[in-house]
Amino acid sequence: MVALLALHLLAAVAVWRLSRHIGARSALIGAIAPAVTLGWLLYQAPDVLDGRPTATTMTWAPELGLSLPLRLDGLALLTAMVIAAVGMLVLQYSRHYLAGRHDGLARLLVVLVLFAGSMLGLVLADHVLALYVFWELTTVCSFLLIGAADRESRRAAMQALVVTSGGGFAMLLGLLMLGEQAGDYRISAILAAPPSGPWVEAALVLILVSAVAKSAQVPLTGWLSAAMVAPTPVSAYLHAAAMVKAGVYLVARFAPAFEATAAWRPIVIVVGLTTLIGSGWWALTQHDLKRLLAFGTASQLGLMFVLLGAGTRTAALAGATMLLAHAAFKSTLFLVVGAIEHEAGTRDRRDLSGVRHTAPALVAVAAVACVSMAGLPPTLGYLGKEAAYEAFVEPYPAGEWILAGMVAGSALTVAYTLRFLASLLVDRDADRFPARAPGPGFTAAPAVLSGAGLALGLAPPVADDLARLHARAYSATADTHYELALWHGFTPALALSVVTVALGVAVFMATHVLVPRARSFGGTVAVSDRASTASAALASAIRTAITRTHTGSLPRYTAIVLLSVLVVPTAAMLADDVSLASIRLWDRTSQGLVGAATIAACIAAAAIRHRITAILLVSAVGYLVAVLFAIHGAPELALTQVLVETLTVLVILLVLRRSSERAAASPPLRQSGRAAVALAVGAAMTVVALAVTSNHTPSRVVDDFFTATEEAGASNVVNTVLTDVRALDTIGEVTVLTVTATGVVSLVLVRRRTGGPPRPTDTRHNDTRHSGTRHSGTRHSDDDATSAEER
Amino acid sequence: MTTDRTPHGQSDKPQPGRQEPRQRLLPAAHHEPPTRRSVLLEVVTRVLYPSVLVVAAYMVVAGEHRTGGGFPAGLVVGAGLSLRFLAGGPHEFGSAMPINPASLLGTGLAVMAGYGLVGELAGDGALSSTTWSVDLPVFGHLEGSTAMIFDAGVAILVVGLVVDVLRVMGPGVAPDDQEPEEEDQP
Repeated sequence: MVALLALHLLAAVAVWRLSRHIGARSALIGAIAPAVTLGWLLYQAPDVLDGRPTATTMTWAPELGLSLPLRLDGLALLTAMVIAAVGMLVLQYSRHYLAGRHDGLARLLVVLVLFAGSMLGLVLADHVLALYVFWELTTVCSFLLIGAADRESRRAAMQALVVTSGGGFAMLLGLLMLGEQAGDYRISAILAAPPSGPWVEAALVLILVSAVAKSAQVPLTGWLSAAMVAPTPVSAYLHAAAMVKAGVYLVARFAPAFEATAAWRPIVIVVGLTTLIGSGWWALTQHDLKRLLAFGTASQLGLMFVLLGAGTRTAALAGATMLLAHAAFKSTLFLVVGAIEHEAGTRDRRDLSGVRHTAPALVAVAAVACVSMAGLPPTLGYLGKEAAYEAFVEPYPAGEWILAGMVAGSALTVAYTLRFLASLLVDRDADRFPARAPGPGFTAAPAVLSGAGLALGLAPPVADDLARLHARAYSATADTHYELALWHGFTPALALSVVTVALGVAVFMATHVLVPRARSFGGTVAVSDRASTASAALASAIRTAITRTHTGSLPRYTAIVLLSVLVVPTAAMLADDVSLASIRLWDRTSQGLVGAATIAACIAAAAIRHRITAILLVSAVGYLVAVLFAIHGAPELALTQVLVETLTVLVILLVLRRSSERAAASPPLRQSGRAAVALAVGAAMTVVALAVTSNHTPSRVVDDFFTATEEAGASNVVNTVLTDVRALDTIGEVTVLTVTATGVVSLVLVRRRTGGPPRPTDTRHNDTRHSGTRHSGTRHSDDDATSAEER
Repeated sequence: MTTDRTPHGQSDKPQPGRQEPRQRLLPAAHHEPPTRRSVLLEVVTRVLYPSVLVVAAYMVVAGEHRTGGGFPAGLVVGAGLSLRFLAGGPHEFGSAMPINPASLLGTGLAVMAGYGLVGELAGDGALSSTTWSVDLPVFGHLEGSTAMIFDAGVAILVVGLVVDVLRVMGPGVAPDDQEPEEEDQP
């Protein structure tokens, strides 16, 4: 399993190296990784079907108890098969869709392959932390894949990132709480012996929040429809088949153990049903075919939420079937829309005309997928929907209400499916648009997916085997032995299906009346977006909060930091009752002299207006402190202090050499305010330092350090601690240093390029090219000024 | 060592009848406008810079037993580089350190991680060090610890850090980086 993850990484590197030589054909190289994965999954399938999950553990840092356990059980196999199969086909499709494209081609394909790997890791991970890491990797991949093109796509990418990674944080918190309560971080162990209590309840709510965000459930649906700006293969893979399923997967993963907890069922069922109906309705109002499908996706995911979260065997069976069916039909439809868009340059349903004449094969493929989406026989979608109704015909709390909601949602599904299909079938005018059919390469992948949905529908026992991979997590009792089949006789579920279709057709017939009403109700065309985009509102609220607090005023930031420093330790000391016993002023006279010089330099640095002199005085303080270190017998510390001080001064001089010599005087009020803050912080730090040193007890680890140094055959304890005893800490520290440096440098460069940090309020009016010229102008005048200064 | 003997205001163009110096004091300092150059600083830099590098190397090697180590060594190299920057300007800095700072940062991290990995693969556990000692006729007792490699990684990374900062704070250091510097004046 580790090898499969490594293979994805390898394939990504290969695609990256090869894409500049063979262009979009490198997508086929990338498709090798999911293809091999699929082969391996099929090879493992018999074992897993017999109830023997495969597991391996990659030990990473046994001392810290960190390992990467991977486990292929029924649910993982089911989801991984979807991921690998759709991934392979989408990459094959990308080879045609992206042919002739150069900009960002390598990036798109590499990230797609990496995404396939991350998604595989996500479903295989058996450790909550590994789950979280893979989860966020998929989020990052999605961010990179959405935001590749223009400003709008970047905004959509940012929205998706904020929503899904915000959910990710909630999940991390939830998973940690769960792991702590269970005393084990392995998911299989947590599920085998589920903990309980208020902490677990809270943890589950947090985990559900992240599932809601990832699967674009109400109220966090908006990012998914905004994400439709991404290239179609990305939409088909990430935003239909794989990534958005991660939330559903999470629900399915934890439902068997936790469905009985108080918060679980209400959240899962209310959120799921609301999304099923709400998103279904929004799908109906869309003209952009991709957005129609996106809302349809959210709606179907809502259904899966209900089914997989409900916690009964039949519901789980139905949910697993729907998961398979949805991956097949929705990816198909996305790929079909992509093929049409590739030819037509538009995906507005009102522009298309006579597609069934120009591309009959493509439309046939889409039609089969639509049959599955509408839940009509003999497709996998039908099997799923029948089972879904059956699950709540069986006794279940408030089952009839859930059934009513599901019928309403499914009727809307039928309606928007018809609307989608109609746009491909209708002859709007005599001209055919698009005029040319997409190449046969475009039809292959959707045909396979759509065919799979049909074939599984025609072979219910196979579909049943697959769905039971997950449903087995629930023990089958005598009255819950439901099996997938095309014909169960005249059951209530069948009656509900008939009602659903009839209602759906009625809604579709009335669409031209209903939809304008719905639009005018909110005033604008974007009503559905706005209504659903609570997430965008959240994002903008965060943005406002950040711009308010981050004014860009350095003195203000410094004051805030210093005041927090002032409050926290002082409060801690007041609470802790510290004594200031035994203060020795100095051990040696030299210390007193250096101390006095330090104080003098401090006062002078604060009083002097001339910038360079002030900087030099500040550095003098640093050097004097280094001397104190040296006198005290810490040469290593003194050396580092001197060097850091030197470099700091040099860098500050480099920055300051072009600004005016003297600092401008601030208003007296502000000046005295700053002085007050500075004095208070200084006084507090003095007290803290005195308190800490007077209560000093020798550290217990120091002896260990000396022993370790002797063992390493060295005599410099500081260095041995850094390179040997605490080498891992050192690596951590320098990594932080690297990240910080890269961040600072990027910020400075961004500022140079755009003429200021990106502000959400003014970016729209800020033309980069224009500001570029403005700055080169400034540069000349600066140069003149400096040379004049120096002359 | 041949130097260009003309002080202040020397022009780049070889004047007729005069031979161009075979070697410059600092390789790329002549890109600076003559008014900004200081021959004193250039000479000091020329003399000091190699010694600075030797000191840094010493610090890495001596870290086991004496004051030193990777972090100070990197800072010393950084100080040397900023000397080159101050004396010869951005072009001179670019010729003193032609390597991209990102590569330095990456190399440093990779060396440290690789060092940890080798220890792990050798079965001593990650990040463990081994000491070898040799007795040679002339040099006497020599000792080398693998921790030195780790220290070298730290040093490379710190150099990368300093180069990164200098490159951004000083305008247009690399010849292809001609982006204008932004002044932060009210």
